[in-house]
Amino acid sequence: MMSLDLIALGYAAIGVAIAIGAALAGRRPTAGDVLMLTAVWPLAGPMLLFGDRDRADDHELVSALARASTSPLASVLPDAETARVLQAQLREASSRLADLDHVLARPDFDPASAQRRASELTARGSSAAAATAQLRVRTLDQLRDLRERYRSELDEVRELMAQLVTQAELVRLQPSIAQASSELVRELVSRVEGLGDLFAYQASLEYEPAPDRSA
Amino acid sequence: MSAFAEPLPYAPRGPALALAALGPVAIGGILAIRAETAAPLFIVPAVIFGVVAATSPALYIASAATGTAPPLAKVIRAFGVALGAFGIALAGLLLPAAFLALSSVETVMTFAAASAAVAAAAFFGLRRLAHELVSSTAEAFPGAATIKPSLTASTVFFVWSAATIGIAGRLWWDLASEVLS
Amino acid sequence: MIGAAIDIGTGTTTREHRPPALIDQLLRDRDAIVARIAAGKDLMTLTRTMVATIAIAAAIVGAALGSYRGGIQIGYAAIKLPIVLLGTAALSAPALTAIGAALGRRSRLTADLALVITSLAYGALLLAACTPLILLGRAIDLTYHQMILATVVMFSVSGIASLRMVTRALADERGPGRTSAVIGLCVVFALVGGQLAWSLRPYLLRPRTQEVPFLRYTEGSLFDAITGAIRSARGIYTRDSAPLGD
Repeated sequence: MMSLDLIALGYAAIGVAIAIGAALAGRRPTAGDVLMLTAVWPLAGPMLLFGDRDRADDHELVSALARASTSPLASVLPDAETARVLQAQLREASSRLADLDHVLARPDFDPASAQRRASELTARGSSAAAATAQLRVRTLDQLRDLRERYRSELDEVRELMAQLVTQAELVRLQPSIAQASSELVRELVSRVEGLGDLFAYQASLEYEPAPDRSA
Repeated sequence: MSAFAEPLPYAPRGPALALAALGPVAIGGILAIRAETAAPLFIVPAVIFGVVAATSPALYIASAATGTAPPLAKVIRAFGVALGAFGIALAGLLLPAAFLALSSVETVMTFAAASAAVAAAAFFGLRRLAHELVSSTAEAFPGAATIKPSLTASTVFFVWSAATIGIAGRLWWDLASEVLS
Repeated sequence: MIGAAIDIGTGTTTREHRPPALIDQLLRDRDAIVARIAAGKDLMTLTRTMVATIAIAAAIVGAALGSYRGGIQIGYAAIKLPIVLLGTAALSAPALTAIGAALGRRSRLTADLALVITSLAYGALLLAACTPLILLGRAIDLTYHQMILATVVMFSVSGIASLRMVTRALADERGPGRTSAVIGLCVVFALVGGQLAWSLRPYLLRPRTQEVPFLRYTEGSLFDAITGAIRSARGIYTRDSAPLGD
């Protein structure tokens, strides 16, 4: 029999190894995370590694298509591989929306505070600092707009998925309308593929060159 | 024509098959630590995968001969999904089994813990295999709300399962005798 | 307000994410906590809070149990009981996702882990609420065996409450694998928890106990003790006499 000491030591060693692995992978665990990993790594490890991305909506597109596939709509649905690619796109968009929510919830990302700061600096005559503050205000506005666009697109996609599931039930009763429902499928696929444009827009925001302040 | 038809919401894929490959090695490692010999590291995976490889063609032949077999490609896929299910189940039971096995004084309890984990994972794998074979056989549409296997298909699967479990059990018992001696 | 931030989109404050608010929500509105877990909102913060909750609550209960004998046993039990609960949770929780996924349930590892640890935290809080009863047992000089029985009842109540939270959270799921996963979790939890608790005993000691060990000498696992008892009942003994109890 292995002594409890040895089992406990081995258990803690695995936790420390995971913490080191997470640090090397760029996750930057805090001291609390390291303690948690040492104590309860089977719980904390997946949390740290997979974060909050493992959500119910991670599979909702695949699930909606699966339900529709048992109806006459099956002939107009995308194939399994395409569905998985679309699901990954949807998951990425949901993840980015969650990131934006998290970022914009921070106290130092409050647009009203940033605007007040810019006004104070302008009133004080610090033009360079005020210009930077105004830039921050514009950036925060862009982030808010981006978040609203993500939210709006995801809402539309989710409504289309719900409509697809409902339409599948209707088609089950009236198989003749299956082909006519293909427009709904095309719209859904197009919307999800269109999320790629939003990713590109976000990338353009992130790589927007800083304004020339030499003047 | 859409090829998208997955009756169950979740089908284990690549990483699950990797777990299926590594899980028995890990169980063998636990037994190897207690037995103080490396033999179980190789014997456990050999027993599990050897038995499946040896008996799976028989299931297809018997099913096809009785007219209850899905296409060969779907049978292969079903076995892949079932192996993945086995791997995932074993991965979740590995930590409890390791703790129970390594903290026991009696080697019998060590072996019992490891056996229970493998047996439970095998049970879930077989259950998943049965479901995958049935859902592959029945048409997705126009399908009934519930897909039920025929009596013949059930009998074939039951006999095959019993034989596979019997063979694996005997080989496992021989391994136990060697480890416990 | 200082330290608070407004989520412009939803109007909720991030104070909801702070530990005291989470614990309060766990006691008052478990459906909201379950919804938060299902949405995958900030599960790492939730997990940290619940792990800390279990550690503190179990330490309080352990100290109360140890106070039956008093002295150093208060500290020993306060250290060991959190280890038992957290260790059992860590080793058993992945079984819920694993068994469910094997049977076709949609795999959501982090949400399932958060659910298990949160429901355990709820049970630990209920146990902590029972500490006045444990202290009352000492105050009115309940016998050792009566205390054992009372402790078993309290732990059973909290265990049932935790299990009920898990089953209610999964009740809204459609699809296969749910029931088998919960049953599998219960079986694994019982086996691992039993073995770990057995290994780290004693918690409740008779007041007249002279020497207080941190861990009782390990003659074997819980299952070794059960098989030994079965052998003894059949007249098969491995030693001349049993050691004297405390």
